[in-house]
Amino acid sequence: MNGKRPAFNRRAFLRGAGTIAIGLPFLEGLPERSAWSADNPPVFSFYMVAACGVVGKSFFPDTAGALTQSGLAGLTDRATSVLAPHADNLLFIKNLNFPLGGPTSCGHAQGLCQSLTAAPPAGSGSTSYSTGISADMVVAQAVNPNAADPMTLYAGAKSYIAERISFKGGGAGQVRAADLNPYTLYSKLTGLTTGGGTSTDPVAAELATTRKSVNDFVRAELNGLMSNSALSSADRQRLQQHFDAIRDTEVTMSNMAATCTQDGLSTSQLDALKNGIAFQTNGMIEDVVKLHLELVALAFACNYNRVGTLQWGDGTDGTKYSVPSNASLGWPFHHISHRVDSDSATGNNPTAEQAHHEIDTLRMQSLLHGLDAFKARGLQDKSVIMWTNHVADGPSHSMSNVPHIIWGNGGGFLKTGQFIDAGKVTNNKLWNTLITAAIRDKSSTTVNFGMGTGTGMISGMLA
Amino acid sequence: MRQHTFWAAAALLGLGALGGCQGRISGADPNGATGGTAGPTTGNGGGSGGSSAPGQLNLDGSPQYLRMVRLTNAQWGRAAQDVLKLSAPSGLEQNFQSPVIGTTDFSNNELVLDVNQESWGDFQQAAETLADQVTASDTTLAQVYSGTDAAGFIQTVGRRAYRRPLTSAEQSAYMTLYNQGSSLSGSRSTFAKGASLVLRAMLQSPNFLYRSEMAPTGAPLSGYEMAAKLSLWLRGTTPSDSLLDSAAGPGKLDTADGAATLASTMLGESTATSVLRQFHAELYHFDRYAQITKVNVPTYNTAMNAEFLDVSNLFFDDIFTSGLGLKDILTSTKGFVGPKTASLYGLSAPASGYAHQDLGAQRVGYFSQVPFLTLFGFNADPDSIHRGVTLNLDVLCAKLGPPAANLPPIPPLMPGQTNRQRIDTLTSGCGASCHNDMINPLGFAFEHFDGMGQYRDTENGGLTIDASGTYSFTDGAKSFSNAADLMNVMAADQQTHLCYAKKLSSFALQRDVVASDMPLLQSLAQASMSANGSIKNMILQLVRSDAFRTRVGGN
Repeated sequence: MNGKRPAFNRRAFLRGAGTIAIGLPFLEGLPERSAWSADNPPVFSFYMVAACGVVGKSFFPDTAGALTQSGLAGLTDRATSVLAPHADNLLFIKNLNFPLGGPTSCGHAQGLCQSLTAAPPAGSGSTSYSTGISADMVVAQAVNPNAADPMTLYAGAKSYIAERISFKGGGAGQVRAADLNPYTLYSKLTGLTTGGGTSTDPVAAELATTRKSVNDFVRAELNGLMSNSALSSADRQRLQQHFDAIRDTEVTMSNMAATCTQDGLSTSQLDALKNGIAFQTNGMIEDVVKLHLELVALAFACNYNRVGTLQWGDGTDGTKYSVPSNASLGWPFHHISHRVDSDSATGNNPTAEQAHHEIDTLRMQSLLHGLDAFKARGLQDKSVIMWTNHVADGPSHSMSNVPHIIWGNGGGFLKTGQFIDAGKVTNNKLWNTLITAAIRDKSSTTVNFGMGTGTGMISGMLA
Repeated sequence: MRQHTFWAAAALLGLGALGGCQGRISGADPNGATGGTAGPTTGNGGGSGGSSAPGQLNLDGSPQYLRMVRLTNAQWGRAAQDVLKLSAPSGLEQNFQSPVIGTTDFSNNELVLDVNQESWGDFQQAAETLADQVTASDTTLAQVYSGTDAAGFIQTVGRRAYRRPLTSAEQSAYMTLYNQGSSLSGSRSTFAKGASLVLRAMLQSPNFLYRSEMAPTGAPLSGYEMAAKLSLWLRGTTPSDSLLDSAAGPGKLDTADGAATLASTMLGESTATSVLRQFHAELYHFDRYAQITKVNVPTYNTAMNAEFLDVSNLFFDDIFTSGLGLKDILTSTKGFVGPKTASLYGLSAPASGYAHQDLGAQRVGYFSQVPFLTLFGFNADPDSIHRGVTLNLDVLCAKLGPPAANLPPIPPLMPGQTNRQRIDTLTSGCGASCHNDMINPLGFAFEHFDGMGQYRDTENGGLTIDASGTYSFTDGAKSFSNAADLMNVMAADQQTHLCYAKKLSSFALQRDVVASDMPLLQSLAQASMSANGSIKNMILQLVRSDAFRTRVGGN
């Protein structure tokens, strides 16, 4: 080490170090890392909720049964056909319902609120909120060191109904904010990644030491403020959350794995998003999804966090997709999903239905890109990647038979390579299954999550 | 639950009032099905999703009255720039996690400003980046602080960051950090290395990240607290060194006169114009202009969206800087036109840029101007429902229940049928509490303006347009003959001014405004309705109020 301290930002500093393993000083004495090679490996969980439903008749295969690469590839009129290369690692589920079978006011907000909570929503209109905690938070509290928060991502422009899938708990005001720009996560992860190989770097060690000093300083100030009797309980809760965030960041940084690299990242695209708001301009949503997925794959490979979510579009997504059948319509996706050029009414325009199918296919291609990234990092046997939608289809806003796609066997817990009929159960049973898979290296507790009909897991999902 | 927020967004987005969700400018379906919004439906189409309340001001909300409110991302950016004396904003805050939107009236509400793990990472990274940047050399550091003594550096820069003098304990703690930093490796000077660590901590300190109000309940905020509150609100940044100098001691900013005098000065600065631009943009949802889409409308192209935003901003900038107020927002016949919008008014395009000119006798107030009318137009047709919803929610703060979940399309316009008749038929089953008494009357007032905001004497082959109506305000039913008449009625009605007062107060106090705030709203409404009822005067009255100037709520 030459002792010269570059005078630029942390990310540039860390990346500029080239092949040096900057993160190494954070790795010392890390009990979590041993879990990678133990008999009880961690499971990484990522849950995606896309917008405005799918065209049900052209999404999944017609019948349940085994999924094969050749079989799925042959179903060229089905949107999920593009996922054929991953057939062996896929688990399709149909006839899975949200607790609230259909909308009572704004189906989009109400669907989003139920997708990861398995709890009926409260409130009405776009301000609907969940009556329960979301699965990502439950998993994070169970498996992340010090219950660090899950990654919370968003693709597309925030519009009428923005973040509505990740909830700290039941009640208004419990929805969690998301990161829209992939560059945000990238800049954090870059501090962890290397070009391969490791070495001790005294500058990085100093950064770690001084960061701890600053954190201690801030913590002391927060403690001082929280001891002020003039503060209300609401104030104290806010400051305690701040306090916990510092601790969680420290723990997250210290638990990364040594082998994560930037290989496979679309770094030029990410760097292009550093400044400005290009990440939320119309037409960028699928590119942003792909970048998010690349980064989540990296985050898991680095053991940066064990759980995350992605809201894939606003509840009333305004993206004007450039699919062939939308060329003559020029409608935003929400209108396409309604089959009429309206945010509220429902029509039956066949061109819109075809455009919706083409959007479904496009979204599956984005998912394919992400699954390729996960597979490239060897995560198929130690992760559960789930994709669903906040309503079953656009015209009806139905919350019955909401399509679910799962990739990865969760450490051998799930049976992949199949398309199953869940038998019209509510998604609390899905989440009982997925949460159990996600936390079983930490807990053998029987999971009874959310609300809905019935208890226990979905047996057809199990290996 | 915030029904009013839902409706507001729905309306302004052009959201489907009837649809359980939003709406947007829509048009006829090429295949014959009718597109567009719908209202609570007729007997066979569903129904209203909730109850509306004619003649009531919506004061629902859940204020927390937090003593410590986190800086907004924009405030962080400006404050960091001024603490470090940067010549330009760093822009780092643009990549910070943005607050959840849509659950509060404004994005600066205390409920949506917190520090979580992600946002903490943002603040941490940005602090480290800026600290490294300004301590890269003694020359760059001299821009932050001209001396080279650690104690003076900590005292001077610390006061900027904390918006008050540091305590001796805080200075001591920073000196410990300075000493640790100064002993680190690297070629920078000892002073620069020590200063770097100090700056990293200052920019991450809760005393920087949060604006605090520690005065006892009911007592005036301290001079420093008031300096910070006013500066962060009206200048969008931390108090200047000179403002902090003048804030010290009792009898200054902790008095109503002292606070109002400072606010008056700030209101004459360009930063206040920017702040009020943000207020009106959020209040009337200018972000939706970028999302306007229309199909098969020859007079529309997407390049107009940017001009809609520009002329709207200019209109409200002019209202504010000219010392005008809500009455002028509602009744001014002057507005801004640009090369893409002039023809929609029947005017010649300006030679360059935008022109401020009279728009004609029919163009009474902002809501009769092209941007608003185009946003709430179904392609080339008027979007009567959402025009009505928007005025109810954002101008009158009326209570509207949520729309029904499943809504039928607006039927095609039949020969011999006016748009009003079409919508009336569609919404006739709604009942007295929503469309028929609240939404439709206000929306129909604008029937003379088509979906591109162009004035028309007749419609659908020469049919006479009926833009008259009656609306139940909080002080009783009032009738009007058209949009111009309605705007004058509203400009003279207390509910309109109470609503604007509520929104302005919510933006200034950074919290929900509820029924217990009614005395404040009444005083502000009275000021707004007076002969010199300018926005500036409303703000000065607000600053003088106990709600702004003293510690309210909390523990």
